Order: sequence, then structure tokens, then C-alpha cells
Amino acid sequence: MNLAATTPILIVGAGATISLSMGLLPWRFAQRHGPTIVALVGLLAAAVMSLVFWGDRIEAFDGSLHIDRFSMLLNLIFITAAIAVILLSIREPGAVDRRGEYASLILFSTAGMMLVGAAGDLIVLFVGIELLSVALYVLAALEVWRERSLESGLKYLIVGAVGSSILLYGFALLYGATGTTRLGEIAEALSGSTLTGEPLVFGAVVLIVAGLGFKASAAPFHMWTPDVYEGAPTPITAFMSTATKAAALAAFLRVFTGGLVEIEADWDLIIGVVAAAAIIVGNIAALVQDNMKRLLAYSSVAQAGYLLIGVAAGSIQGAEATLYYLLAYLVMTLAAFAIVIIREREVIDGDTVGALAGYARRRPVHGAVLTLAMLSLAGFPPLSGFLGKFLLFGSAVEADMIWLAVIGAIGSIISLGYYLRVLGVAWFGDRPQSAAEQGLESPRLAGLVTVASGLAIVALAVAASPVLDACRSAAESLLGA
Amino acid sequence: MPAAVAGVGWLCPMELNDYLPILVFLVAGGVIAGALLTLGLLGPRRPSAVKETPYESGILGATPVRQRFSIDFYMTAMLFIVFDIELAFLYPIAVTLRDDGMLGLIVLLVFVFTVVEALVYVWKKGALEWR
Amino acid sequence: MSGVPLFWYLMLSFGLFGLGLVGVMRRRNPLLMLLAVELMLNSANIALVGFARQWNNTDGQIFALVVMAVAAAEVVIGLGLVVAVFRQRLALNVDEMSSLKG
Repeated sequence: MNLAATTPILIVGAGATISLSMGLLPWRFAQRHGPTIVALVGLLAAAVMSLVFWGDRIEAFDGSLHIDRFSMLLNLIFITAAIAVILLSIREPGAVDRRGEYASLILFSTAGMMLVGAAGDLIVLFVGIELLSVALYVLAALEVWRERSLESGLKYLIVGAVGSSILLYGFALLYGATGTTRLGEIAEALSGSTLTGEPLVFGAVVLIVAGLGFKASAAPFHMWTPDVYEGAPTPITAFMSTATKAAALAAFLRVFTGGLVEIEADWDLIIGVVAAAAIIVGNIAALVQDNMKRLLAYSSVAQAGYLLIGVAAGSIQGAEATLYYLLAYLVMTLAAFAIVIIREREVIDGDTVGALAGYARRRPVHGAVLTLAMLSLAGFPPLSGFLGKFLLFGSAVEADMIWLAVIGAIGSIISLGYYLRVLGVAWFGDRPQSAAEQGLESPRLAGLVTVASGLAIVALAVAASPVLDACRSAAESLLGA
Repeated sequence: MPAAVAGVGWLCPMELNDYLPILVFLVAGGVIAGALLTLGLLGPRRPSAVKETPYESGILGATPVRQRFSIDFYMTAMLFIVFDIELAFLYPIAVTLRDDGMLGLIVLLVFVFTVVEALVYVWKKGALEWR
Repeated sequence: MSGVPLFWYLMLSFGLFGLGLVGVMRRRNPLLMLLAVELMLNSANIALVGFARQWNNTDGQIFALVVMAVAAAEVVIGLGLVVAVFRQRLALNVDEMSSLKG
């Protein structure tokens, strides 16, 4: 056993507790900047440690944590999202009001996600999912003076708790069917059995798909998504739609591609149907949204569907495609949300599509990044979003699920309707003279995040082959390599 | 199993024999409760306004019946739930601490430190002040 | 001790889970919805402990213990949010929360 390999998780956890106490210190400087600095330093250190331990699987704590390439790649995704969100929320009222709590809750949530990524045991997986969710419930409601924020937090809590209970019941049935909570032992116990012959396992699979579906906001478990995304503080919305989705997908991959791989032929259809439903529902509902946060919420439902295609394929190839698309999705979504955040500070109705009218003409650099993000989300070649979708659809075809690839392709065509509409408004729209300006200073580093995300979108496409190699070896490590 | 109890074993399936005392308890409770209810029905009923008024120990109530709790009460109750459940983890640790050795002790200390830090945070934030 | 067969544990657990699920869907008061969710989590605990006895190992019992702590954290966050809502003097009724249309 090698405890050293768990340092990324330990650093983030320790950073969370330290930044919480920093907010209590009597000195003004420590109170104002301490938590943010500690959080950023901790996250960077954890990222470095994740790169240091990039290698063969190390089993810590008696096999309940699997420190492998898969978990390290996901660590980098979570940490990138957390750093971007902390930078984006520097002037956010909720963050200014409670600096210590804000940074600390983001770190706790990140630690939960890292636990999910490294889970080798159902108990760890459940605790990780709960840690990330509980911190997010509070973050969504952190602007306690704003009715919508509170409402969003409470809704998220209740729906999230229902999702967790359903997931937990699925885990309980899986434990009942196999007699162990270790994913590796579950895989051994299930070898040679079929889903139809085991009512307990069938129930477990259905409940786990539903429970994780709530967390990944895949249809038909997505009802909460637009409300919660709209009500929560925008940087937190960005965090939810990038990091939480990655964590939910990581849980899907760990449980299904890693643990239940022996009975893959029986569950691929269940996940395939959920993926198809998410793609159809998300893309169609997004067409009629006038609020950017709601539009991106429905878009994220559809993206969850694309990501699940790789899980439904049930192969290493599918897992690799999902991981690559997670990376691409992370930077595309961060870019889109960064621009919404900047706009929110400038004008009062900043989170509407109309607020972007003519914005790209006035700020061409941001306009270019928005264009890249939207085209990549829609899947235009040669951007990273296209490459990711291409790999996902390819893995579906490989797994004899051509219908799923067809639905995905149709969904992408529908999605052009709203992604291109945003671009049309941003480049060619005109904002009415009467529109109220708010004139608040935008977060100093939001521009930096925007440009960095734009560059990352391009970089993921240009340097696709080393990234894909990393994704492939991460996917292979799911099965113990 | 005593012969007297075995004599009524036909009342329930064999594997439920262990629960016979509970059945006896339920039957006895039901008989007493039933007797009280029947007596109430059989006896004369002469209600009057004085009999209907609520009272405490024979005198009229001095305070309003529905009191509103201070919001601090909920705060304290919530903090109690969390710390109470956290400390419940010490029991399983205590059972295996000897076998776990040094690592077990370190894990235990980290755990206790985290709980204490949460307490310090709550304290400094003033959530324990009773206003 | 012969004890109650696993089947009855599972029946009890299914029943409570169903009750909780119906409760969370039919009730509109956040406090009662939290209660219903708690019922669902604890029904899973019963199933876990029942299975743990069947398999004669402690994994399920440890899981149940962890779930209790998680459930406590969740319910406390819920109560905290309800108190915050109460302080804002909002309507304590999910249907009356209509500024975000579901």
C-alpha cells in the first residue's frame, strides 16, 4: 500500500480545511485574500502531484482507492475547473461575502470528485458523490439575500438527495447480489452471469443508472437542471456543468466499464436509451431558451447524452472517447460561462441571449472565443468538439449501436439551431439604446480564463494525438492495467 | 424452550417463536387498552364547559399552548445532529484500533482533528451563542 | 438464532423506499420532502444490513454507518436552507416558489 499516491486528494482536503480557518483569522489581509490564495496553491500542488503519480495503478487503503491514470486524468479536469471557477468568482458577491466558506466549499467539492475518480469501492464512490453534492447545495444557495439562489439550492438539495437515495439503493442491491462492495471483486463475482438471470443485479443496474443520471443531469432525470443552473451564482453554475458532470461520468465509467464489464451486453441498451433521450430532449428544449444560463443548461443535458454514448459502448474505446470529450467539453463550457459572467457584471440582464447583442463586434477577442466555443459545442470540424463526437459515435458503431450514433448526429444538427443563434446575436445583433448598463467592474481574471479556454479549445484539436494517447492509457487503466 | 411457551407454539410459524414475548406484550396491551375504551363507552357522559377547558395540574394554563421556538434552537439542534453522528464513528474505530496499529491511530487523530476544527469554526462564527 | 429470513428485511426495505419515493413526489413542503428522502436512505440501510447478515460479512454494516453520517449531513444542510428561506420570509411551499418555473 502506498499512501503517498493519495496526496492529491489529501492536499485538496487539507486546503479546504485550511482556507475555512483562514476566513476566521483576525488579520485583514489573511481574511480577504488568504482563502483564495490557499485554495489556488493547494489546487496547483494537487495538479503537480497528479502528474507525478501518473503511472500504473496503486491500490491504497486496502483497495478502496485506485490511484491510476484514469483517476489522475480526472483529477486534472476537476482541478482545472476549480481553478477557473475560483478565478471567475473573485468579485462575485457570494464569494466576497463569505470568502473562507466559498473557497473551502469548492475545494471540498473537488476533493469529493477526486474520490469518485479514484473509487475502487462502492462506499468510497458514494461518499465522494455526497461530498461533492453537499458542498454544491450550499454553494448554489450561497447568495442568501437572493431569493432565486436560495430556491435553487433547496431544489438542488431535494432532487440531489432523491438521486443519491436511488443510487444508494442500487448499490445496496449490487452488494446483495455479489456480497462485496469492492468493484474488482464485484467484477469477479459477476463473471459468467447474465442480467436477466439475476433480478437483484437488474434492479441494481436500473437504479444506479437512474441515480447517476440525476447527477449527470441526463434525461429523463434532468428536470431540475435549468432551474438550478439559472438560480445559482454563475461561476457555480459553470462548476456544476463542467466538474460535476465529469464526476458523474467518472462514476458511470468506474461502475459500468470498470465493475460491471462482464455483463456489458445486458446494460448497454439501458444506458443507450438514457443517452438518446438526453440528446433529443436537451437539444430540442434548448432551441426555445432566451436565457443563456438556461440555454447552456439544456445544452449540458444534451452533452451528457453524447458523453454517455461512450459509456453505453462499454469498451475501452468508448471510455477513451468519453474522456477526450470531457476535456473538450470542460474548456468549451468554461469559455461560454466566462463570457456570460463578464456580461453579467456589465449589464443588468446579463444572463440573457439579448445581452450579447453586438458584444462580439465590440470585443473581438472575446467574440472569437465565443465563436470557437459555440462551434466546438455544436461539433464543427476541425475543432475538439467535433473530434470528440466523432470518436464517441465511432465507439457506438463499433459496439453495434448504429442507431445511437444516428441519433447523436441528428441531435448535433438540431443543436446548430441554438448555438448559431447565439453567434448571430453576438456578431450581428444590435442592442437597444435604452438597455440598462450596470457598469460593475468585471472580475479581473475573467478575461484571462476566457482567452485561456479559447486557446485550450484550439490546442486540444491541434495536439489531439498526445492527448488521445493519455486518454487511451487512462481508459485502459479502468480495467486494472 | 419452556413447555408452557411451547404449548402455544402453534400460534405462529416456528422461526417466529423468538418473537412470542412481543406477541404476548401486544395482546396484553390490547386487552388493557380495550378495557379502558369500553368502560368509557359504557359509563355516563355529562360534558360541561368547565370539563372541556385545558388545565395543567388542576389549574388553568398560564402560558400559551403553542410556543414558538427561537431560531437558535434549530441551529443548536442541527449542530448536535452532525457532531453526534460524527462521533459515532469512534465506536468501530475503537473496536479495531489494536489491530490497525500506528496507521489506525494516525487516521483516528486526523478524524478527530477535523471534527475539532469544525467545532472551532462553529464557535468562532458565533453559532453557539444563545441570544 | 434462526431469525427472520432475508425476504422480510427486503420487503420492509422495499416498502419504506416506496413510501419515501411517493412522499417526495406528492408532498410540497420542503421539510416533509426531506423526511421522505431520509426514509429512502434508511430503507437502503435496512437492505444493506440485511444483506450483510446474509453474506456474513461487515461491508454492508460499514456502508450503513457511513450512510447515516451522510444522511445527517444532508438533512442538516436541508434544515439550514429551510431556516435561511424562513429568515427571508419566503413561502415555505415549493409550489409557491414560482420565480423559477419548473
